[in-house]
Amino acid sequence: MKTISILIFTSIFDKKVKYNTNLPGTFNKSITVTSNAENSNVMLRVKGNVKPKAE
Amino acid sequence: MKTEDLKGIVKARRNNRELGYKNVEFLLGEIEELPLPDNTADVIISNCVLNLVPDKSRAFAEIFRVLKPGKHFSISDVVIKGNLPENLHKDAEMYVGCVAGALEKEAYLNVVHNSGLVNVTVQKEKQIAIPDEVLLNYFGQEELEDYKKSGSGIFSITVYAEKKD
Repeated sequence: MKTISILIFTSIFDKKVKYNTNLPGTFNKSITVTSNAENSNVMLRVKGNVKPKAE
Repeated sequence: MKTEDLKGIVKARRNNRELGYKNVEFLLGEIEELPLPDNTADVIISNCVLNLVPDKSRAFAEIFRVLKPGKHFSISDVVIKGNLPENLHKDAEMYVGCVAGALEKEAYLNVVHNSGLVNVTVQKEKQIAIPDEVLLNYFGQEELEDYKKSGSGIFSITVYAEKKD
């Protein structure tokens, strides 16, 4: 059986989304990621809820 | 090496182990100094990675070194035609999308040619459309209209080349 060696380069990205933790309540953030994929612009929505600090 | 890189390679190797693949190996290293001997690879493929490498000449020299004679690479990357505003080119968010760090198309192809690879062919090319609301972070309204008319832009290209036998 013939085997071939394929070398694939890859990289890892991370993207940080900041929100104000001093403001209790829901938050909505969105970021647009551009790439060379078929759908070249993808909007990512991050939703969450900041709970009041425990006294 | 960054902590994120180490975490990534640990996760990849764990997944590989759990899935039981015996013909996949993950290596962590700099593309400008590949941790592989000469004439190792039959094919090299990559998508949207090399434009992030600071020293592209060195990276392509390494590709040339590890490719077996008579074998080829096929690489998709982001390149630029014309001029982009400096701040867009360097913006971290654009870096995530492979735009920052991208070379002008002809300069990129010259780097490939100069590495010693032959039969360099652009197999595919398509423009990456960035929404106006993103571009308006870098341009005024009038500048944006000028930019659109200028023919400048961000493109994805797929490049094929061979190492002579």
